[in-house]
Amino acid sequence: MLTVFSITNILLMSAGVFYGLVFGAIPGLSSSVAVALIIPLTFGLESSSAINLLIAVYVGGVSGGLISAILLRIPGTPSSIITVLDGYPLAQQGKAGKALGVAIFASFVGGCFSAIVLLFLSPLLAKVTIGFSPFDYFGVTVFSLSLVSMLIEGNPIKGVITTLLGIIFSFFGTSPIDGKARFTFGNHNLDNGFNVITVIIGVFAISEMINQIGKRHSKTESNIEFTKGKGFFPTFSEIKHLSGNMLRSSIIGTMIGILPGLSGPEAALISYSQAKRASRHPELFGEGSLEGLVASETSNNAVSGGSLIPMLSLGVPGNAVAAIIMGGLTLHGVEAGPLLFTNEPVLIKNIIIGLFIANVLMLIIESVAIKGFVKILAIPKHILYPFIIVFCVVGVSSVNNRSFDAWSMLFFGILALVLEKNKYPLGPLILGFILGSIIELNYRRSIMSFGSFGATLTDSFRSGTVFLILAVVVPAFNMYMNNRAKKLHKAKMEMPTIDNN
Amino acid sequence: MELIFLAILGIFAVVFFKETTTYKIASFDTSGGPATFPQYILILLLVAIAILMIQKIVKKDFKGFVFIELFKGERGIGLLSLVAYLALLTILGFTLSTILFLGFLVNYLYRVNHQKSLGSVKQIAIRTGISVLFAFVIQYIFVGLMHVMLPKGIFF
Repeated sequence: MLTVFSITNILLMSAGVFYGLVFGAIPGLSSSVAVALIIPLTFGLESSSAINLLIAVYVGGVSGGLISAILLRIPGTPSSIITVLDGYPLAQQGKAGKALGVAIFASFVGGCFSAIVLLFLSPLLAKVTIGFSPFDYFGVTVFSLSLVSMLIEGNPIKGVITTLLGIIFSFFGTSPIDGKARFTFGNHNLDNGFNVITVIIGVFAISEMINQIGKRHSKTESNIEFTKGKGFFPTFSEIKHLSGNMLRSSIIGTMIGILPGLSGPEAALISYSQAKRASRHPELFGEGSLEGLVASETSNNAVSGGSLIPMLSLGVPGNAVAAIIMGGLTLHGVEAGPLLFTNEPVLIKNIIIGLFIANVLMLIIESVAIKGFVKILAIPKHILYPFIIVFCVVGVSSVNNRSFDAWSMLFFGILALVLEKNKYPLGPLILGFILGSIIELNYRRSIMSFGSFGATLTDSFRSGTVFLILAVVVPAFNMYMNNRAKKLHKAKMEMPTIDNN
Repeated sequence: MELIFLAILGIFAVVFFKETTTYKIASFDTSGGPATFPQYILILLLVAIAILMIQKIVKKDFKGFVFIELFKGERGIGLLSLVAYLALLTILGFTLSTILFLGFLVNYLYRVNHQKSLGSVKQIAIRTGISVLFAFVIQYIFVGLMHVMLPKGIFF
């Protein structure tokens, strides 16, 4: 039965969008933290309502970042970094209301576009992948992890190290196939391994809270003023003028969301540069251009639906937040992947329709309560961060009520803080942790079918082999292109300049 | 400093690898046993660590790793208060330890952000009052309404 339209579900999703918007709006808090903290609250819900709530939080979290980006010049989330470039100058010109209205509308368009793609593309992809053997799954998962670790900004080796660390943490506890206890070192608390909630909350929430505690917080947030007049939403002629830009940015955002390893910030950056290239007034970009604002906000919200496509149809999340949502699904006994489309068609319908509803709720709640969200920005940080830490403790305690989980959360929090501050990306750590057991299970099943790993590659040409080749070729090609670009840039910098005088 | 961090990671990888050599393969298991896959991953980790260490040595990049600095000052105090909070949870229970944790950290962070001033007695009382209220509200919502188990101590 479709429960997505029930009053309870709509109210639950509204609360989720509101909560996500709050987390998105407050600099330092992100949609990852918001989704991670809400998972323990979904235990009492049935799986459909639980995932709809998580998606609602995700949609709200991504969009909420635009508020502080436009009004404070501080991106609320990494996805809204590019929004600052034109949003803040518009606010400085006295057009904060207009900028907020246009950005909210663009977020809605991007989110809905990605939901449409999710509706049509994920069942098709599931049909293709339903015939996948364990070896094919092994190949596709390794391919995703190689993209995640290698396409990330900075040193790709650091991405590889955190991915491998994530996989290693997934080994703790019972092994797949034979159920042997591994890496427990005599500690029975580790018999079932690290709890996914503990790891997620530790890596994303605790590390961020400890980090934020070390920062000084200014009081300027309480002095934000703007008017929400008649021209809040874009006019019909503005929508007509921006429609091509919105469509292009929606496509870019959705495609980036599908690709493992890339997320909102990359989508916004690519869309922004494409919008500037296509614009008749590129000189206005960075000075308060609605086109630039629309490109950023449409694309970063389109990522939300895009990242759910590989998660639902392949069981491979497109980014860290999708991985957290997948972790939440696992806790509800739902295994993401192509079988979900045949075994749980109603759940799939609920999820896809839920994404549309979440975007509609985001449009309504964010535009109606925008002044309230601005007030939330003024919550003193000395109150906010300690209270969030208490929520983290409640979250991990509610899983098993073991002090071991709380200490594990602290361990992952400290580890994540050290890693992130030294430019080791955290997304691959979580993806490695969540996908580690899936990779191992499919690897061992493949060996059982073929006899040896060599035989899996030589017995017959399979899609798993293609994905394994791509797992090496694509990152290698990317590294080659990056090195080439760096050399060209260096050569340009070293070229003697011609003195016209 | 980063080289030390990588070396520690490498030592852990070696210890874990040694641990995997003790795992036995079940007679029905034709998948290589519980040790094979972790061994591959640990070898890959050691290779990645070695590559990064070589990169650092070749480029003479020995600076830029932050560790001790991360836990100095306010962040260190915040972390210590969290450690104390987690330790007290099983002794004093959720409500009491939460009151102590919030009462301390909220006032401490206020002082940090307001030129080492805690404000008037009324302001301190309000902040502490909010902390006490929050602890009881959370206890009521999660234990009373949602029937979630939270740590119990010697009192309640």
